[in-house]
Amino acid sequence: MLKNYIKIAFKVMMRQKFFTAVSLFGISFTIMIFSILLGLFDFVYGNNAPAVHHDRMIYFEGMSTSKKPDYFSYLIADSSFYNEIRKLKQVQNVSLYRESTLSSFRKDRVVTFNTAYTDAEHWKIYDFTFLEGRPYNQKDVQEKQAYTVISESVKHYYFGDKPALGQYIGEHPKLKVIGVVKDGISIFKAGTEAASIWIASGIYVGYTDMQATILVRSKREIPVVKSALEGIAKRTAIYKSIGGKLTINADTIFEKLDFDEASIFLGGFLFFIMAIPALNMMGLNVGRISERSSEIGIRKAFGASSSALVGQFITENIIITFIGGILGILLTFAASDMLLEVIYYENPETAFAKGNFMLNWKTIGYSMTCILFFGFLSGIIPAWRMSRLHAIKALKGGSL
Amino acid sequence: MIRHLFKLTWNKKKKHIFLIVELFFFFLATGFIALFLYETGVLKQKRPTFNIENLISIDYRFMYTGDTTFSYLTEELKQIKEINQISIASYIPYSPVTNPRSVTYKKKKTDVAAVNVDDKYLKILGLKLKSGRWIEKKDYHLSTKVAVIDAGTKQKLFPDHEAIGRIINISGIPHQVIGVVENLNDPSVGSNYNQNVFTHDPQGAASVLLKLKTPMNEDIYKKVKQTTDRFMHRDNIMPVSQYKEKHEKEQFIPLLILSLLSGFLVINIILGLFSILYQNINTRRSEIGLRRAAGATSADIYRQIMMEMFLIATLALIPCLIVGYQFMAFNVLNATTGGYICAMVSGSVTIYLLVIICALYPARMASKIHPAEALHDD
Repeated sequence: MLKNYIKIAFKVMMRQKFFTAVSLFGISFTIMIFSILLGLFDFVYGNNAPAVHHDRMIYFEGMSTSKKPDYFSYLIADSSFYNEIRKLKQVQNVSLYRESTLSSFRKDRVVTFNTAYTDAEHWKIYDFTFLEGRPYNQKDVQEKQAYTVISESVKHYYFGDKPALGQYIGEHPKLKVIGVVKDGISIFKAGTEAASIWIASGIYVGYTDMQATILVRSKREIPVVKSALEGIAKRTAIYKSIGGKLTINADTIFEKLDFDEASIFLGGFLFFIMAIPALNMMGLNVGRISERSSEIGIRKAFGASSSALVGQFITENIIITFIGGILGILLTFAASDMLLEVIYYENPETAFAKGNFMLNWKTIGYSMTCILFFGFLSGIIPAWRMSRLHAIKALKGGSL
Repeated sequence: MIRHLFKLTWNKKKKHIFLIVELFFFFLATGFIALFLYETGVLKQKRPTFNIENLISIDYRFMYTGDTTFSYLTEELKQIKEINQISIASYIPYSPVTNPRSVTYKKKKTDVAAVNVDDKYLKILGLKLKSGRWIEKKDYHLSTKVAVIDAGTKQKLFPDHEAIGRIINISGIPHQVIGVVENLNDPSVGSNYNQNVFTHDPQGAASVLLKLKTPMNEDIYKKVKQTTDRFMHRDNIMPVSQYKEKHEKEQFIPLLILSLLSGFLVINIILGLFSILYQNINTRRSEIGLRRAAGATSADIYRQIMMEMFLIATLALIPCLIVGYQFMAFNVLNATTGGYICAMVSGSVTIYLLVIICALYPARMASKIHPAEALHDD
């Protein structure tokens, strides 16, 4: 039966090439926009490598009080503060870091890479794929080795196709490359994910203030850890001497970039984008089905039930949306390079190896789901209206 | 005639609801685009009057002009022979930090962005003086502070008479106006702080601007970097042209995305409308045949189809304008009244344009229907 439906569907599609093309255009571009947006959404909030524990990470970016004796005074989060945090039983791991940048001038442009001085724990919280070399370990940090791990794009920028291991980058200080990792995408920069050069923090000179990535054992314990942070901050000597209202800047990615707001925005936008092609298809389907009223009449006269007819027309619709969907996924791959250029417009050099980043099974899964939904949505109303048509009326060429 | 057409349309209201909903979405899409263009002021940009050729900035921003580091740094930088001029000022073109102040003269008041400059700033940016003179070194320590204003500020404070020599209050501190320059017209500055007042303030923050004899190259970068590193390790050397590039991309990318999305929507709607109309005409062959047989000319049929479409477009406009008015009344998108009106007008105009484009071919097809053939089919 299904085979017959598919045959009929193809026949109908070939008979009205123009309308088929209109439908395919609408579907494929809608799917493209859909899967790109869902993919971006997933990149921001999902657990994607290297941030495989994204949903239970807290980004601690400093704290301050409402009382400010002078401009530069804020509460310093130093290693003794973090030792207290490490003692909490809900905390799995803590990685301390400081943000910085590294600029250089080549080929008529100043290019700035984000860097992060991190400890060795950083490599345990994140799961990077090493293309060459190794991460720095605790011993390297303690011995104050000027070691660095760089991303593919950084390697490409500094060394081209030549090997990077053992080479040096930077001037102050000179850093020895000991590892190269696969590029990750950071669309909204948070913590050390924003960096593409990681430096063993033993050599860091400057403020004692540090930022941290806190990995909590389970998602449910995040509020517990956050309130514990406040308690620890209030017990520090510096807070006791200053006082005032305490503000701790420690959020998960869902709080940093308001998840609810983003979801509502995304939902509204997708609805808007999808509504027009869906309406188009519905309109086309109504017209198309009324042209086929004699076919419907004959089938009804021979005893086909309404549900069988609805099934047939929805199948037809899903087949055409499916073809459009596959085209849409191809378009997504084609557009993903352009999208990267848009995301990394400030520093295109930092996005060398990230091509085709939309190639991921999650995005494809999402797209497939929405393709089916799309086909169902645009097929159901016309199919239902048509299946109610009386056999004799349909044979006479009655309209809907 | 109109009443007859209205009845015809009304009888097929179920079929037309698709068209109307689609036109409604089209109105929303074009309205948003028009509002965006209007509010961002992309359309009313002026040419900047400064020249950023071979201009390099060393961004400090938090250091004070009076800081001795600056004088040492300037001395060291002068040793580099590729550098033509050096200026210490707070305003980097295409990347300004706005420093809002209010300026008053007698009863008149205007909001400006204050710029902390030195004697070289006029020359390094190639600004043009309209009257008076620029700030000089001898002015730094005068008891009455001096200021140079731009043409926009002059227009606001002294619309009819000479500005030179008058005393204005910049956030309560009296300054004597010694010169008027042309507006900077920096494209990266919004319409709020596009007026500037230039003063020399040793307590104000500033950065370093360098004018090179040749375009920047790796050699010069290294020399400048080595010099600044002696005072502070910071990644802050940047050709101003790169700020410009960044600004242009920042402006261009939302427009690109918007136009791609709207282009996609518009093509979709055109194709959809076209095919729905095409199908409609096909199902109305007998009706049109009968009209022709009853004496309507082919031009009449053409006119009828077009009028019907105009009627539908007008019907669709009613909910559109109601929703648009609601947006304006509650200021949902935080925009100006002018923006909303611009959005509604352009939405309405494009709906009519769209309908005309989509109906042209189907209407022509309908007018060509031969009465005998059409009636014979039935």
